Amino acid sequence: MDPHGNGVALGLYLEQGGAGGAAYRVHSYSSRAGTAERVAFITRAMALMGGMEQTTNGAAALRFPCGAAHVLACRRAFLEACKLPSEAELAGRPLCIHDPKAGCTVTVDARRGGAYALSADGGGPAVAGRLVAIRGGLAKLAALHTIEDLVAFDCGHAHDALIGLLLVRAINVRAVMRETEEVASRGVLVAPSAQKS
Amino acid sequence: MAELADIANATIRQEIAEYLDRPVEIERNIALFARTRPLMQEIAVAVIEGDQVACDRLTRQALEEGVHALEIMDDGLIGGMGIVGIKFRENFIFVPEVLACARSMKAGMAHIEPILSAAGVEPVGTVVMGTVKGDLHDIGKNLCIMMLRGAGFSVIDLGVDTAPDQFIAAVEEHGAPLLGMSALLTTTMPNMGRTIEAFIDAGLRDDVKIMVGGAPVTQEFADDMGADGYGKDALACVALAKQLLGVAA
Amino acid sequence: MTGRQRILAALRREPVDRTPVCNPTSVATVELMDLVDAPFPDANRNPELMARLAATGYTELGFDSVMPVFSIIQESSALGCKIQWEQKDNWPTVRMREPIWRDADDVRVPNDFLTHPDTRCVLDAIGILRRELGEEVAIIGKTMGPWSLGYHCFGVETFLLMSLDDPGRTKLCLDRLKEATIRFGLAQIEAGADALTLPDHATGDLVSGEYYERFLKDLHAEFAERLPIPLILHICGRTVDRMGYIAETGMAAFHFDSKNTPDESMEAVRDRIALVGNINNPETLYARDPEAVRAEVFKNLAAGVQLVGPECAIPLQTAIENLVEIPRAVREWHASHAHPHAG
Repeated sequence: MDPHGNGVALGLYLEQGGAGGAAYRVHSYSSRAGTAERVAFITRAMALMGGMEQTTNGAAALRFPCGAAHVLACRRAFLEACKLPSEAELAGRPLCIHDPKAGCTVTVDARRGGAYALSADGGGPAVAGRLVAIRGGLAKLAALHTIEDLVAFDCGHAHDALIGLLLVRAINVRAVMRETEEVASRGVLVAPSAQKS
Repeated sequence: MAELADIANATIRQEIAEYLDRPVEIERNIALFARTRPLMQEIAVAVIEGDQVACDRLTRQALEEGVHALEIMDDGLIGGMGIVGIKFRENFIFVPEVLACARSMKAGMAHIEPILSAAGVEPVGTVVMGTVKGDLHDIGKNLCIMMLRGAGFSVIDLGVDTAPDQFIAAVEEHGAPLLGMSALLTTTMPNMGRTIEAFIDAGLRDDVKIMVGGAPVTQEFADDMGADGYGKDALACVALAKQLLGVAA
Repeated sequence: MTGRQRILAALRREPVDRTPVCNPTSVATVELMDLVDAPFPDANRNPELMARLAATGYTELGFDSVMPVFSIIQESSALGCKIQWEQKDNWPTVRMREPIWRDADDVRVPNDFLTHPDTRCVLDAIGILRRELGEEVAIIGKTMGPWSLGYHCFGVETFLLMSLDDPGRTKLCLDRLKEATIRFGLAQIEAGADALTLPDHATGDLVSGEYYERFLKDLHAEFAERLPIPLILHICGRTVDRMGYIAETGMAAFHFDSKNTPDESMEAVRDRIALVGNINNPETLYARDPEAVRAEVFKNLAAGVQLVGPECAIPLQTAIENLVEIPRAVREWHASHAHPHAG
């Protein structure tokens, strides 16, 4: 459900197996005025914030330059784009962020082969613990694999824009999980005996 | 070793003979009821039969006769609920019957709980207990809570349909070193894993021991989910809680 | 055969040209609501919107049936229960924490039961669908059974305890509540329905098969006699242990869910009743892809299930592409298999 689109439902569709690998399409079944423009905005926002390419195979489509699907990460980019009103200025996110829980700035550095390392400008066990948690958050949000203290994309390619986008959520991945669970539980009809209220 | 014939109450003997199949459970229940006084066995029967009026009357009678509140709870009420739990697990009885048994037990506990809380015993540990998200069944959880309190634990009961964040909030608020989750439906069991993941995400996993239980839950499932322990019934829950917190058994 | 002919023949366990795709329960989704601009909650309260959204099951998804009664609150609302209406992406529900009755003596079906806006809406929507879709597609209505109404009006725990404390009074409640089921069912037949879904949630997760036999089997047989239309009984959850009893009621079909496999369900009913089912909602239709949907359709067809469809009302966020896969998979299977119910 699009919070800025008059309650219209937007879908993200994955098309596998094309010439350029996996491609995504933002789509709505609604014919209400403004829907097409909203779809176009979200597509642009995903391209910029998620580091995706826009292709035009008859209709606007998106793909990661590496050709891989990165389903979870793309879904997250879609949800983040939907949170923006259409008047918002689009900009990529930096690879550093202030972590209020540990009171330090966390920086992400790109390494070879799609891997990233996290560091902080503070020390001590609390900061070290937060780096572990934030690394775990990034891994969870984008299905990255961990190698010692690095996280890495399976495709072996860099996705700096995506990391910048996900870093904002990775510092409080519990909130993201909660939001995901709430969305998933809406619209499920249960039998009277299973109803919670 | 005690035998079935050593149990004074005919109904209890019949319940054990007819509904219990696992040797360990048969032995444990025979041992329990062979040593308990007849009035406790009558209370257990009142729970098993869902007779709240009888349970209320017999509990009051036992207290008037000077039987200790803890003995009434352990030997009478919890003893009876133990058999109810087994019959429910094996599908001899269903939710309506269990609701009636729980109502009967509550009638007895209404007289016991005030006495136990007034005793001012120092809690051996703090436990947060709840039934996982999506699950509205609380029989097993309530049983465990009664037994944990009887064993001296301070228990924070989050009720049913508890979301992972509610578990986290309660553990943080009360500084509880132990969390217990129950699920009665196979469809809600995965929420145990999600809750444990939530603790990992929040960086709290190392601060709390997590135990799980409930009719469909198994040791294997508990291990897969990353729990610290699995209790197959309310008695095992108490033993596990003591073990996880390093309290003397 | 038209979709309507196919569904009616399958419900009578007569030969069909291919297995019909049937929804005894809702296939409304937020995407379909957008497509025809008929969002919840209004589509549950306004007959034009209700009919417009229901029609998409046929026009967009390619099912052989349409079923306009998306939720399960209409009768309870007309009986006086309070309803939580929610928004576009969530279901209306009965506020069971505020039960309206405490005892069998409280049970009464009011005189305006069929003119209450929520029951009236269904009757008008069925009329619109019959006019607009003609005889092409089967129109399935829905009337809630007395056990489910008991949950709504008394509260689940209260009703279950009553069934144990006083089975006689519980049967009296059911007997009084059945009038709501029958009245609403007859009115939908008159409005043009071809079949009726009858949800009555005596699910195996809560009550025994013996309970079904004791409290509901005779009532359901009575419904089969008094409602002159094919009836599709719907009970969620694990129900294999009561399918034998259900098969003896005289109802046309049983809508079973994914907790029961197609094979064991067919075995349990032994050709005495048709089966509708049982594609999983939360894991398959909602969360997975058309490939997974196809696999479940094939399992049902291989077992000989007479009508194929989702196991229950689908999650509102289900993608259209997974739903259109159902009729597509049915056609694909039939293209390469001899049909057990062929005519």
